[in-house]
Amino acid sequence: MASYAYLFKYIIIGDTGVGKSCLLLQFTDNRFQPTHDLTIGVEFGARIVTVGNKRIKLQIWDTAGQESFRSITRSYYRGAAGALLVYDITRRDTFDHLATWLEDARKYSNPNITIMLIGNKCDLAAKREVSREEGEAFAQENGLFFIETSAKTAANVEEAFVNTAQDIYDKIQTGVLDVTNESCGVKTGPTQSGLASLPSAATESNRGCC
Amino acid sequence: MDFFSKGYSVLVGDRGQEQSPTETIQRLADRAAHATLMEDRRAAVLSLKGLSREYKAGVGHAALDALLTLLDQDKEDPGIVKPILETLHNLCTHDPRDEPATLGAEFSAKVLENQANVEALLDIMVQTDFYVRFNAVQLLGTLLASHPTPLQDAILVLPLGVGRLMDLLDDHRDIIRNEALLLLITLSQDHDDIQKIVAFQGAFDRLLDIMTAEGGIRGGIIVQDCIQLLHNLLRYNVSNQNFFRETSCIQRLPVLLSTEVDNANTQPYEEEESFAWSEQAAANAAYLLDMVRLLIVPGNLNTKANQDAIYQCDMFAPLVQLSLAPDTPSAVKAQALYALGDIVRANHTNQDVFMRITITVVPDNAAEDDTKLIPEPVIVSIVNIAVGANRAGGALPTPYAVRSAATYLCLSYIYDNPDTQLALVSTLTPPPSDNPNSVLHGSARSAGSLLIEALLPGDETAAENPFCTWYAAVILGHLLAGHPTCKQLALKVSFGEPERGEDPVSLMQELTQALIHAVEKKLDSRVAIGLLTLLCRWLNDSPTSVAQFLEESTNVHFLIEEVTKASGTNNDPVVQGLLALLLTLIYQYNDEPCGGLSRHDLQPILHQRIGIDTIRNRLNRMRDSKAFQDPSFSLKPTAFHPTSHLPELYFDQGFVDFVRSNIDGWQRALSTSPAKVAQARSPQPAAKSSPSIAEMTSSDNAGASAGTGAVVGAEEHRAAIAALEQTVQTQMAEIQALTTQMQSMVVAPAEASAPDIKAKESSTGSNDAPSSPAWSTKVAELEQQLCEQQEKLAALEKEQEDLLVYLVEQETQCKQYRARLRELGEDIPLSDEDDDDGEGGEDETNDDDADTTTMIVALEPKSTSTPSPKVTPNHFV
Repeated sequence: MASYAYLFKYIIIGDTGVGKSCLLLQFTDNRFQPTHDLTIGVEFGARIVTVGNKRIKLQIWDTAGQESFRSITRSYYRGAAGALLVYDITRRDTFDHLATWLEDARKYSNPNITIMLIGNKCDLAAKREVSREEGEAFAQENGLFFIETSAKTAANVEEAFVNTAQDIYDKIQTGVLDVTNESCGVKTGPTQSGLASLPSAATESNRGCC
Repeated sequence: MDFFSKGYSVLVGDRGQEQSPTETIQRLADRAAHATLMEDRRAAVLSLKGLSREYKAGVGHAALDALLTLLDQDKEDPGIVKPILETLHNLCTHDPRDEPATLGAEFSAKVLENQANVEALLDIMVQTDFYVRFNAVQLLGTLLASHPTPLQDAILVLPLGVGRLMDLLDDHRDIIRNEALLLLITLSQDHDDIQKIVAFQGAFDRLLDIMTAEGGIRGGIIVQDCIQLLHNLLRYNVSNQNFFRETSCIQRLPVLLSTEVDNANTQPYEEEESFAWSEQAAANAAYLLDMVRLLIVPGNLNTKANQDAIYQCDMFAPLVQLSLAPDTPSAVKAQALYALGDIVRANHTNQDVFMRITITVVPDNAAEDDTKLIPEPVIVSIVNIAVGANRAGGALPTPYAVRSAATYLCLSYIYDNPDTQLALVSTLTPPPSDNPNSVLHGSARSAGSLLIEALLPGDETAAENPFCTWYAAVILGHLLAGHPTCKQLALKVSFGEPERGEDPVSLMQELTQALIHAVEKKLDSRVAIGLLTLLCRWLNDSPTSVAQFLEESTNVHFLIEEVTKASGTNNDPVVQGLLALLLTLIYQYNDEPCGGLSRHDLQPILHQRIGIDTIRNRLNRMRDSKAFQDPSFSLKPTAFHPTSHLPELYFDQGFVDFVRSNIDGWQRALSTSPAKVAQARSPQPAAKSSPSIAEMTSSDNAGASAGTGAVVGAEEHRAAIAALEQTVQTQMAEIQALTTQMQSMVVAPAEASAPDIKAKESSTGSNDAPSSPAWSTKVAELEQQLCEQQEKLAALEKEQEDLLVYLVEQETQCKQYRARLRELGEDIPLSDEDDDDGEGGEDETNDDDADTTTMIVALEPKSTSTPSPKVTPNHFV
């Protein structure tokens, strides 16, 4: 329950099975789950990262990629400061659908949202269907950040989340984002400074019998 | 006035004749739908509104579509939106005069048929006009009441839907905010997805903001509404529970629970007033505590994380305050105790913290005399509530709900924690009389002494208040369960002073006497049930305890007699079943040689005099009884009547689980031959007790050697402890060596295909084996050796137990010395306190630690000018 300077809200979007939940799990728990459990609705995860010497708490909302949940997940666009738009480099169709995802994001989210395009599963080079250049080009056209990751090997996963946070942080510094407006998806951390000095529970593990 | 005249001219008609309502309504509907001038449309809507109550069916059928179209088309204009909303609300609301009765629901369904209507209603919320917002929220509320699912689904798929409603919580007009709150409560009911979106849109922060602004639990009904919405969002929703913790919301709860007057808000010259409980405040507090418990449901995955967060934000202070302050309403008190129970349950850190909380009781009659304010461990006060002992001074008896809650807290405190178990059991023995601290603690009560007092009350109390015994028996039963050392300590408790020529009577015998008394005098069955569950837990898996029980030969005869009775004990199959259970346990664990009946003596009694089937039937009848079928996990009494009648509490969940998982084994043991019972059991007894002792000594060791205290007294004690430990350890090794030796002795002859030694023991002399006389002498020799070794082992074990008890006492004394020295101004590094925390440079953390664990509860409601007694950093049991 450590303190933090800012809180950013993220959403992760993209087709079903591209590895959204795995990216989140790798980022928050440092582990990989090979089986695909369908996300029902929306799941929540959180972690603290450090950007520009500031501790920043990321609240991440992992959405269901299936079409049937699409209308529900739209409610999460408003109020997100960052969006991770994920496709699977081994499945061309997931790349082709990016345009509709982006359309949703533009339509329902805050205009200043930072979007990171992520080509996931880059460990499966042999099965690659979408080249890195294609991804880069799409990102450039639409003004997105771009990175290729592997939730399995953890390659670039940290960077994907942290780089997004860096951009949001820069936007706050330059005044593009207003921390007092909650619909921007950013907030300042709790102000109670006394909390940091509380003893950590871990220091006491066992004791005498009285 | 123009539109009035226009509206009514329609009613009157061109030729001044009255028209039928149907015609009029049709005309108005047409005009509303087709008039080109806004003014005309508005006039038509206003007229429809006027008619919508009286001619609901007519207006609804003719004009509903037109109104809905208008709503979307003219939504920018509050002047027309307001009457449209009011008309729609009239149409959709259920009215007892409706013909047919479902009319309102029918129109509601029609509104919801089209997704666009819901969207329009939500879009209207953007307008800040009071009546527009108010009516729109009300209409949604009405629709939600009659058709929850369709409206929930409709709102869910609108990306901005929930957000629009959430924005209303920020409306500075309380009426709108409150209406929105009520709407969100209904909307989020039983709908996971909506709950998540509401949470995502910042509900937690906003609700906590509102609650804080309203003064926490001291606030009005609006606070209760906020808590209800929090309930809806958190119950059964793990994702939201995590979110609640991760957004640091738990940290905001202690302030809300506080009953202390906020100094920042009071005028400097204002007399500091203590907080008086109102009905609403009590409801708020109980409800908020209930919500806290949602986060820490025993056994849930994230319970541990939430427990830790709760500890770190120091919620113990307000909870202890609520639990113990005499003016807290009972319902709140009970919830606070349950909440504390769930916070410490199975969480060693929190159990530890709780152990170290001390409170200062300000007695009622303490006027100026503040020198005698003795801090005592909080658990003592909790036990005191549980056994209902604080009835001095004509105070009202503590309601059962509160006592059950306090008992639950006691059980949670020792749950899954042998250390706290032992710490409490060690208070059963009163401190030695030569202990200088006894002057200080002379009249002070200990948790153990309170339990014993409650277990062995006078005649009248037991008859009048059976739960006095019952609660104490449940607690002590759990204290002894599965902990051999605790059982040994309890075996040593006795009453009567030999110096004065009194024969000491052991606790076990006293309890059995109380049991016999309760059965003979036909006291309420709960007295007997309580005592029997305690004895069952005590004797289970403990041959030494069985031996002590059998020392008094009348005990077992009493059991046999009662179990044999055809009509049940006092016509109560439950009590008889428990008596049968006790008898079964005695048969099974009767391993130690003692003055009483041996297993061999018992077998014919069980088999022939009572009959195995009879015993089994007694057991099964108890197991199938209603009292046994629905035990209470939280011990929550079914009725909340404070004194009028006894709650339906017979068994605690722990005991029922204990019986259910073992009953088959016990039943099997009944028909096993006496020689084989011990073998049939897994090799538990020896294996179980030694590791736990080893564990304790090693942890003690770590603690003792870690400290480098500067105090001479403490140093001396440490040396003594270390020496004792040394002794214990050498003795352990000795015991182990002896055990292996003994085992090899038993095994050697067996391997040589000699007849089973045990069988021989039983049938002494009748040596029917066709072996040589040399063999038999050898066997006899070995047998003798075995007996000797066994005796030696027993002696050693006893000695070790004594040393252990001494060790515990020394440790306690050490701590008391330290505390006293500190009171006297001696500077003792705090790291010394935590036995396990040997690292230096942690002083700062420990300072904070001390602050979090010591608190003062003024047990006097209106102590206006009591000077704050000096707080000493830490007090141990």
